Amino acid sequence: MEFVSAIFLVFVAVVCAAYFIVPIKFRWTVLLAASYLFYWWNSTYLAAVLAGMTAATWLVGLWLDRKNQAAAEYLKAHQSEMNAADRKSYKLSVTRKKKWILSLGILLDLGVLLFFKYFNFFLTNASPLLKALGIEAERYRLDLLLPLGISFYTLQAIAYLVDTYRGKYRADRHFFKFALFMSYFPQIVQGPIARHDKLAAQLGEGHSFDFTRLKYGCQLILWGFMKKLILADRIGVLNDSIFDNYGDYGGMVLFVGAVGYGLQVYADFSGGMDIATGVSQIFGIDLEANFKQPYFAKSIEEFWRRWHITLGAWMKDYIFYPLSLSKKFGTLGKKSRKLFGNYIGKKLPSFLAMFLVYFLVGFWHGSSWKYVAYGIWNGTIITAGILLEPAYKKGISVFRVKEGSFGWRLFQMVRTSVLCSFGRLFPRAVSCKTGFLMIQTVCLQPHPWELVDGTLLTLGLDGKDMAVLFGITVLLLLVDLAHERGIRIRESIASQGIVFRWLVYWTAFFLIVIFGVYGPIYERSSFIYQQF
Amino acid sequence: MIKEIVKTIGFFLMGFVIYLGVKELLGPFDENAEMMFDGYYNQQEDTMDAVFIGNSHIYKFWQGAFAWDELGMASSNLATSAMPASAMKNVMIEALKTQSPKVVVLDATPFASEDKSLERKNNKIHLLLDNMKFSWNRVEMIENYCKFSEVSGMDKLQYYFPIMQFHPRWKELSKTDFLKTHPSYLNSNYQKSWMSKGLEEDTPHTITEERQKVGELNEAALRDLLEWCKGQEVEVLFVAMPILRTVNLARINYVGDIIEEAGFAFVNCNDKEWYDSFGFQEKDDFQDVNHTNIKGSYKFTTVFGEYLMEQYGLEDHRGEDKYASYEEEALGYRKKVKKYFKY
Amino acid sequence: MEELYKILEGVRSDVDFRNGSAKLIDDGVLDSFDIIAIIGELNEAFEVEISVEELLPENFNSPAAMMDLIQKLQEEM
Repeated sequence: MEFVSAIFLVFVAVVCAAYFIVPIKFRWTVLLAASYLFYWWNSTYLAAVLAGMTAATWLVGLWLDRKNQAAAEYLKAHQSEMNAADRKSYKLSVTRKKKWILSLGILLDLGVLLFFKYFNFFLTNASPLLKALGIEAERYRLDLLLPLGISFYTLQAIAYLVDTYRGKYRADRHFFKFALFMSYFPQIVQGPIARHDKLAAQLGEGHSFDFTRLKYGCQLILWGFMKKLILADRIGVLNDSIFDNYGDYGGMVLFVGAVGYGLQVYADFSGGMDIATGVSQIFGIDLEANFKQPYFAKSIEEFWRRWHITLGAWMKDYIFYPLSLSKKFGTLGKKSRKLFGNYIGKKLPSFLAMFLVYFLVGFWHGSSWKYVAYGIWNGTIITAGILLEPAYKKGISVFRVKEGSFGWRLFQMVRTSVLCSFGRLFPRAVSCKTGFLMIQTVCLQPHPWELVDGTLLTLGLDGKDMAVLFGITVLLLLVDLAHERGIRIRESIASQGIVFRWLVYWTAFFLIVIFGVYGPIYERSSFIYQQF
Repeated sequence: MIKEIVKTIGFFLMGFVIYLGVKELLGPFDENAEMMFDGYYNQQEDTMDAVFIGNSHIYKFWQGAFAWDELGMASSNLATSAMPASAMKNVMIEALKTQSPKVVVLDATPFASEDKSLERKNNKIHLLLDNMKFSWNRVEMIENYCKFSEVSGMDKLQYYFPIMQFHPRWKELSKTDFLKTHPSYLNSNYQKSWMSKGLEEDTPHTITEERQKVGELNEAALRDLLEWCKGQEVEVLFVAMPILRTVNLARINYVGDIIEEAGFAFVNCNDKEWYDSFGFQEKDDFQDVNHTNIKGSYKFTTVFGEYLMEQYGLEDHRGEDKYASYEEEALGYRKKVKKYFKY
Repeated sequence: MEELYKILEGVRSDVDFRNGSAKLIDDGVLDSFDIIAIIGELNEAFEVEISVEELLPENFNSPAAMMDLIQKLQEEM
């Protein structure tokens, strides 16, 4: 069941009705049943993987929790007899045990993800080695279907375990409510990656019906459909022709493809988030924001704080900080400061950690080197940005740039988008190598005339499609601009007169109906009057 | 609470009205099909002697206006281009809602084809969907159609909401889409090429005794229709129109066998005796190898009409008050076609 | 407290830590690199070990909160 489909809307409507009919106390069970039904619909028996991971994570969580509680009780009971050193050594021994338990849990969760998503990738890359050992790698290639959303709920499970380990919150004692947290259908497909303390309680308690929430939720869903069907799926046609025949075009057209692909992913992904958030809103559940007007970012680093926010936050909390603050990195920092001096030396450990984060972000996106290249591209740009900061500052003062002026900010935004778009060549390209080839073409054979000689109209979209594309992109930009300025669009619509308000809703609806890319392939010829 | 309900209804009403407008604008417009259906619905209730149901083999052969002018017979077509075999029954149900004719003449050709013709994006169902009034029968027709063309699940939605198929037409909208002209409901065909065209070269009529199996789904639709007809009180006559293309004749024979086996009357106008009775000059009287043009249609209507009058005991209604509309339409038709054909 | 201000200003000279009212983490004044740098300096200067568990926004939103955290950790030693 696709998110952007009629059947999904019907599904949501039925679940909604069931949710508000059932007594408040049991409303969460409707969501749990719906979530597993949704999962079954998409992945059938692979729902067992989700259920198994849920059970394992839940048990390990309880185990960690028990250790935490026992330690706290022990310390309390023996408060008087223990001195600071005793306490420290006791805590250390508990932590050591907890670390083992945590590692077990993480290995279980991660193992499943690695097996399903990366087995073939590892196999391919290890094949020369295996060959040397006399093993034919191809024979062991697995034809696995990826369980729906596994990349997302694995991260959710790991976050839960680490947080419990850290004592940030108590473990969830209620298995089925925990299962709902792991499987909640609006977010299982593509996030946002939730944290247990933010979401589980909301899911578990019943919410009463609220007309305003219904309205706002529906509006968000509509907007998501608009982005997906009018923008993403339309520009996707263009991108497909460019990336599938990248050898036929000059650099400028390829660059258009890169920018277009960025726009497609943004509209597609953020549209999906709008739908997930809108559906949840109807139930009375608030999901974390995953996008914050990324194209208004003034640096790549800021871009990643505005793009797929929950993934970035996850990486920060569970990879970047733990690494940067670990003892090994601490000593590394001291050594590097001696070697490279204060400015670079101080930053080197953080850079290392950050590089690893972007490597993982890339790798998480897919099991191919091109994603790794994508991650490294971003990591490199950010590092370069920070390392070059002194030189940059100098340049600003030499050229008397007015920081904060509109022109400067615009330059920063455009620069970020351009850099970002270059990076986008990798994930969409056929392979890592093609990505590099395309960058080479962009730089060496730009063929700018292809932008105006009509080449762009040969890529599957005619002038009218281009006009629609332009219109919806401008609309998206305006909406983002309004959000950036702190204007709450849905509330300002709500404050308008009833006729205008209704017209806005129906206009949006019929824009999707008319300009959306959906439905059976329409062949003009098949409607022209035919003789029998 | 009541205020909320009223508001909700108002909201959806507004959407529905916009939907109707958008659907009207984006849906392809077929004047012939609209004329046929609206003309049928507009006709005085329970006046009709004979109703003809089928595809272009009906409306390019039988003209109610000729039958009225020459024989005083009150008849009408309910036929659309490439009518799917599965829809025949539902169109007949629709026809019997407002009329109780002495005989229903059913076209045999929709059944005489291979199933794969359905695969070629059979959008002709829309000629029916766009013009048939909303009713349970229309819903059933969609369901039947989906069953017989193996469309299932959410794919059915495109027939309930044709806009799902037609929405990309926003690109090709032209003046005619905005100013759809209201057709004149003359109950007879007035397509321009049909009135003006003849064959380029003389093509002789041939006959075959061969039998060729038709598509399974088509045969199933036929048997389903025959079974249903057995329970109806109205007289049913199946007919295959005269054609110059031999390929289809073997299949028509096959269909005819099934019809006669079920105990229904079947007239194959390609049988020598029948064919000769029309006195066709092929080059002049046919628009193409499958259809007569207006001249051939006049010959066919008069000959076949006489047969029906005699066979089913129909009366000449000319001059009766109740039938004034037939007179009026026939007159209008005579005026409309006089540039091409005089009779 | 003065020592803390000096450290903070050493990392981010462009932020007014003494009189500013912005929430340093929640309002995005400090980014993750700043946090790492600050923690490194704090660990050294105050002889504490700020670990990942303490990395909560409420512990770093203001200089006062950071001081609280440091004192709490010193107590535990």
